[in-house]
Amino acid sequence: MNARGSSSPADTPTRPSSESPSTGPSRAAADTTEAQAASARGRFARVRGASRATLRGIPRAAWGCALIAVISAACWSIITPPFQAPDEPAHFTYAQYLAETGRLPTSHADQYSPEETAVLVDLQQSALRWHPEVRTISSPAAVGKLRRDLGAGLPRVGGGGAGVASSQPPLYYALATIPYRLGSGGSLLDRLELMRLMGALLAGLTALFTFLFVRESLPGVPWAWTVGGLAAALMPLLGFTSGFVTPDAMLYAVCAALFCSLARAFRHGLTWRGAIVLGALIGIGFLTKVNFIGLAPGVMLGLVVLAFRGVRDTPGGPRVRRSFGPMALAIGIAMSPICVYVLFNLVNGDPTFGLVSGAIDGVSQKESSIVAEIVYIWEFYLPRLPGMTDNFPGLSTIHQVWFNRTVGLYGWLDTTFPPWVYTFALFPAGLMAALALRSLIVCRSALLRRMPELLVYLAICLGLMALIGGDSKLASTSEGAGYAQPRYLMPLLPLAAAMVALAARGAGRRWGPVAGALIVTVFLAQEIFGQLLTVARFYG
Amino acid sequence: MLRVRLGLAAGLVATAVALVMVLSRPPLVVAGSNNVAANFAITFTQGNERACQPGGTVPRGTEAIRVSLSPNIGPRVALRLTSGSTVLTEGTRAAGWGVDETVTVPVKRVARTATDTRVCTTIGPTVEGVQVNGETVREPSGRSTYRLRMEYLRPGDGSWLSRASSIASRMGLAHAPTGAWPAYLAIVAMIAVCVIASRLVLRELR
Repeated sequence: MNARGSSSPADTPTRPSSESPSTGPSRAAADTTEAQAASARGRFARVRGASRATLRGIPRAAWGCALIAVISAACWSIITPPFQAPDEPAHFTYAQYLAETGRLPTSHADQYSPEETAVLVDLQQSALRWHPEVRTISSPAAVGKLRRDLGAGLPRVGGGGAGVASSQPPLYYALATIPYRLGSGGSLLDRLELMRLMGALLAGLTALFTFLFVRESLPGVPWAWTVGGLAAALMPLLGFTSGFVTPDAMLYAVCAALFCSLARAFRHGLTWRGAIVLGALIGIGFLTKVNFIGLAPGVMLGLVVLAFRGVRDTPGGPRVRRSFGPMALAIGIAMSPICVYVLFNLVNGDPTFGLVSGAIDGVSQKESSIVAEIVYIWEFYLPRLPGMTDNFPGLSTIHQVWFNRTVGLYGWLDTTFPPWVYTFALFPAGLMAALALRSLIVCRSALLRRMPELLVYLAICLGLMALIGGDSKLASTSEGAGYAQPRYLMPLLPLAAAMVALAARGAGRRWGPVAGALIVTVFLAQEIFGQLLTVARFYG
Repeated sequence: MLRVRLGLAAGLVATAVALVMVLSRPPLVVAGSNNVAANFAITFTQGNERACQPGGTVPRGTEAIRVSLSPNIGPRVALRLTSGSTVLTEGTRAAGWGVDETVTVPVKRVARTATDTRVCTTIGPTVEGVQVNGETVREPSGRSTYRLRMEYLRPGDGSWLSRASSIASRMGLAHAPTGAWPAYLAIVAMIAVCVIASRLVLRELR
């Protein structure tokens, strides 16, 4: 890399010459300042040039996928009634409290602002939630009451508790204060919609980086990139989740960018620039949602593997240098937000990890053997093996929970298709799985060559799945298996998109593009019918 | 290229046909109930049980029965509706439903209105305690038991399509921006999504 220690032509003319007639201290200082400014300008120009080149290198199809994801999520933001998505009231409270006071929530209590509390009551939010037979308000009296309260100028600051959102890191909510402030002259519902649209933009980033990940993963099959990118962009779970106020939307985008950067590093080596990007993305991930902790071990493993693999000095040449320096830099950048957060808490006399500490204490205090934990997590996703305790009696988690809920589960997890739809969905899904398997078998030699990279992705998957499964076990006495929600696995969307692209490729060179076209229409249909289902459930 | 065009066209046509079929059907509406109040959380059941209770009058055309059970992940629920010794209808909802305060069990269409019915509910093994919303009653034997609220659903009047404008208006009542236009904008936006996706497929998949 030439990012450090090199000078560009832009720097040269502005450097002070030793023959310069003005050699007094003040003139020298001025020259130095000028030179520094020019150097900074040069660097900025270089960065801008590099950014433009990078953007120019992104295929138009990737932008198309991003646009589709943005439009789709924006539609979901219109279709989903206010506060009828998982934990949206708490996430809104967090952002509102941060925007209005500049402070983070101070407790796990549901202390919504008087404004939000009034709107939740007017919308009959709790009567609607988990009651698929109840529709949104429509009587003139109810609508009139809502309009009056929206315009009443009720206080926007609550008691400082943001419920279940309180333990989340602040980055997403800090970002959400921007649309919140943009809409500060409007009603609460205006602000909510603007915040939801920010999520739609994040969905665009997710689709964009997912496309780029597929491109890096399957460089030899350009047409398959579009299949993977479109499948991701049209996946209703991405649109639905990015269409309401939740840090998941940002987590998906960060994880997609992370997968893309990792794949790029596995192809080109871990350079200094790549390390900075990876470190920054990991740091942003830590600051976005607690669930990122599940992905972190796999990503760190990836950095170690990349460091040992090293970089090539010439494209396609042998790897000549290890990348321990870039690895250390990436880890340093990645861990810095956590260190700053811990220091901040220690200085203020708060628990080391702030409100997250409560959750950590809960985990450490539970009484459960490691074997029981592993068995639970296994059964949380996969069929029970002989000899295992039955933690999910009468339930096939992989089929009746994960598959069905991925096919369609919207609203506050209370909006589902008629049962026959899930049975029908098994056919296209089964075909896609068979084609993907065929593709994997055909490409097995290439897979073996890329085994370290695949093992890193596997470690990332396992880490996230273990975190969610472990959390579910922790909460199983109060919530059953309520954490079995596919949206928690959506950070792995780029891998799913790559599998979809592989499925299309599995149909062979001749029929692959046709299979790809059909797969895209399957996802398009799922998106359309998912939206119609939500409309029917809430407004029908 | 022709094959891709045909594949895309086949997918889009199939989606459009399915869309027309869905929108031309009427929604399911409540046609009657067993007149049991859905009192919140009167008890919890651990599943693996079968209970029978009076079903009241079941309207003709009933295609689904909504039962007042509430879990995070629901167990298998099977219903059998009888009148005397005649089985009027039956149906099953597989495990995995929820999170809901009710479960809708599809049943074979009831051919004619039946009175003084009896409905037996079989609840499969559960992952967690399932909340029962209904009424507590005392049996002649003195034993206390519960009755579930049941609602009988059948197709209502008018198709989904005929309700489009009222649905669009309703979408704008408790949402920002207000008015029916965001609903129509969403339709236009999704058509744009179809067009962009199709163009991408035709341009890139060759």
